Amino acid sequence: MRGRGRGPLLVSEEPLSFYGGVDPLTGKIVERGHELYGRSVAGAILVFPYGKGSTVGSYTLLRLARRGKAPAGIVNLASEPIVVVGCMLGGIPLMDSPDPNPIALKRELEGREAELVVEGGTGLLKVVADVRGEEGGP
Amino acid sequence: MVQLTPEEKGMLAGSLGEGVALAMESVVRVAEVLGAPRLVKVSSAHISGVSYKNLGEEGVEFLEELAAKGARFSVPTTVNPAGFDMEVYREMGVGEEEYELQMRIVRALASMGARVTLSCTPYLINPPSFGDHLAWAESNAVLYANSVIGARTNREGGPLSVLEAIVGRAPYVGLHTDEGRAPTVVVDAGGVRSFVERTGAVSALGYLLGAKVKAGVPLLVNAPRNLAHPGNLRLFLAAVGAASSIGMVLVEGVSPEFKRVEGLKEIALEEGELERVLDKWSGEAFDAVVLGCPHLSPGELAELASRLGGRRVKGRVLVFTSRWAVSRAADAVEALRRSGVEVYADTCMVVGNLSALGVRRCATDSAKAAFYLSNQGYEVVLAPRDFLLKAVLSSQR
Repeated sequence: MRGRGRGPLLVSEEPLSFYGGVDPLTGKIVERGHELYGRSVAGAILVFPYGKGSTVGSYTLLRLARRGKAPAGIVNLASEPIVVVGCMLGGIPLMDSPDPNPIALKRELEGREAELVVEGGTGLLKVVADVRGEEGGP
Repeated sequence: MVQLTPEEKGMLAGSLGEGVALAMESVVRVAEVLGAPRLVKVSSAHISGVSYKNLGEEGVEFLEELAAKGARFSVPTTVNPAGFDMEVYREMGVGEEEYELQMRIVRALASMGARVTLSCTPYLINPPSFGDHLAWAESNAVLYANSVIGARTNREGGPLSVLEAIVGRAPYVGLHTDEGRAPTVVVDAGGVRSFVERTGAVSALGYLLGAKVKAGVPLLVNAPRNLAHPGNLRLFLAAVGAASSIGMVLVEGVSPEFKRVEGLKEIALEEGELERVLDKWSGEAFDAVVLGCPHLSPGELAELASRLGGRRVKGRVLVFTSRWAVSRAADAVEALRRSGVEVYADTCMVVGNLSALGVRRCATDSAKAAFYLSNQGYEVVLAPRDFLLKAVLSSQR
């Protein structure tokens, strides 16, 4: 989806199920055993391979967006209908097929402040600052 | 690139209003992601995921806004079961707040032109014809339309089906296309055929097929003869859908598009595997027998009433069906109620709340229901309907 968003990068190597896997009221990841269990997607630039699980997950993204708890942007390696429809309904910028693959750079990117700009069918993901401490706070 | 007709481009540009434009943009975006060259007009839509638990307050607002922006379903549209029976919701332990939220969803869908069927069996209520393109969500309905009728739909997904119903189109891809309907694997049921015919384990068979094959279009050969019974076929296909992402099974002797194909990979189903499915949901004790996943048809309600023959059931029996079937089989429903059977319409054991009805441990003939109910924390026994009816008709439990 078109649009721009800014927030800390939250990177998952595993697919994510929004229905049942993310609390629609708070944005917390509640799928047991998931590598991001307990983390919140709210305000983050969320990077994961692709969505999985029930198609009701699209409504979870819509609900998060209306509560101000949605990701500021989503980056998928390969989009599938659940996340595409959810981002449309929630007005969340969505980029797919990023090159280079940000998931392979998880350790370097995790937690960094990034900006996602999607327009005219292309997306740009840009690290804008390091908020992990070395260069001070925002 | 998705090729759009001038009419579709107009919809995208807002010629029919903001709601239609949003819907069109979403459908086109999904078509791009799926690699569809174009959209295809559909003759009907079926929406799933309409219970208040799924949508929440925000989802309800979204539907109301769509309706307020003038979006209307451009094709005949039916809807899946809701969280409770609209007539007897108080007896089902539903509070006024939940009731109001659910009713707002139903009213929003109805105001956009949906027929308030609240059933997972649109193929009975609004049957499509061979070759029709559909935008159906709800996996058991998708499997039935493709496999038994020869109509064409992907498992479109609940939220997407709302948008497809508005634009009257779906991405032309997958099961909408001839290539997408070609079998991908041969499944030989010869090894379990006599077991299923003897025990009636048709639903467990569907679950096994789904769990083992997972995706694609299986061609089922040497199918048990009792699979052709309409009720059994529905139980079988629903279980396939619960255990996999499969949207079509070509069943020998049933599917109009069945034909033998050479050179495909073959998978044989074995008796031991089927027994392991049954072992997943085995047990002795239960508080209630729950039937109707998928919703029972008028014919099945009549069969059930005749099987009970006016005798009172010992223990609780809950039956889930559509208001359409209740109106078609009013005498049978009356007889079932006299026998002590609780008959509910508009909802089911999976999207409703069995615990509010006092049920913790249940027995069912549906592996789909068994799968979802055990995920929700219920203790579940899976057994053929006839076995369960014998249990509630005998004095020993």
